[in-house]
Amino acid sequence: MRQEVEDFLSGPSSETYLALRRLVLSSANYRPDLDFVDQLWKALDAGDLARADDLSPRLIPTYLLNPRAHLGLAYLHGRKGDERGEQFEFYFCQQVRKFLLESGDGSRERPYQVTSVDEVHYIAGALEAKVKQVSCEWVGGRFHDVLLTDRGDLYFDTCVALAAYA
Amino acid sequence: MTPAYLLSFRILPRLLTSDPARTRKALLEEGLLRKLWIHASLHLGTQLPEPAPRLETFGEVVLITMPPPLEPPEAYFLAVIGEEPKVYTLELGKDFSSDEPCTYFCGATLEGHHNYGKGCIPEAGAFLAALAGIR
Repeated sequence: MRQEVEDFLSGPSSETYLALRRLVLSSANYRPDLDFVDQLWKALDAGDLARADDLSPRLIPTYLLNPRAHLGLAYLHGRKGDERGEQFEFYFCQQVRKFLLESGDGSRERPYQVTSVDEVHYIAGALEAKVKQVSCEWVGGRFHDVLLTDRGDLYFDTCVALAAYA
Repeated sequence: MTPAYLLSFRILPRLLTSDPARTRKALLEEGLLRKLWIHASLHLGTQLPEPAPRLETFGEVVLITMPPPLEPPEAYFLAVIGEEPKVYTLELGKDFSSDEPCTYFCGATLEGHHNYGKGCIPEAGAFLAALAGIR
C-alpha cells in the first residue's frame, strides 16, 4: 500500500485515487464499523494527545481516504510541534477531499462514493448542507444512504461499507 | 434521536418502499438487521447500543424485537409483512387522559406515521395477534 500512497500523493489523479480506494476496500482490515475518526477527534478535543497517538495507526487502512482523519492527524502533529508531519497530513487531506467530492454529485444517478459513514457527513459539511434527516434506499439493488438536507436529497453509495460490518 | 428511532421510522420504511423484495431478502438472508443497527449508530455517533434487535419469522411476518424502548415513540416490536412497503410497530406511548405509559399500534411508511389506536400488551404473541386482526 505504501507504493500506492506515494503514487497518489506524487501524482494525484482519478487513477491513483481509485487504485488506493480499491486497496482500502479489499483489505482484510477494512473495518468501517469502528469509528476511529470520531474517537481521534474526541481525544484531540479533550487535549488527550497520548490517546490520539494511540489511535493514529488504527485509522489505516479503513480511513486512509478520509479527509477528517488526515485533518485530525495534521492537528495532532501540529500540537506535537511536528511541522513536517502537519504539512504532509494537511496535503493528504486536501487531495483526498478533492477526489471524494468529485466521486459523484449527490444525485440518485451519481451518488458520492464513500468508504464510511463518517465521509457521508463530511461531504454534507463540505457542501454546507444542513442535514434534516438520514435514510437509506436501494438503488439498482445497491444500498445507498440518503441525506435529506436544506439543499435537497443527497445520495451516497454506502454498499461496500455496509457489507464490511463485522 | 436514538438508533432505534432512526432504524424504525427512517431507515426501514424507505428501504422497504424502494425495494420491498430486496429488503426482505437482505433481512432474512444477509444479516441486514444487524448491519443497519451498526449503521444507525454510526450516523448518530453513538456507542452501539445493547441489546441489538432480534429477528424471527412467522410465515409471512418478519418480526423484529427491539431493545426495550427508552421513550415514546420508540417501538417494542417492528413487523414487515410479505412485501408490503410498510413497517408495523407497537410503540411505547402515553395515555392522553391519564398520562400513564401505554402502547400504540402504528405503521411507518415513506409518507409518514399512521396511528391505528391503542395497542396490546408489549408481548410478541399479542402483537402478532393484533397484526392478524388488521389483515
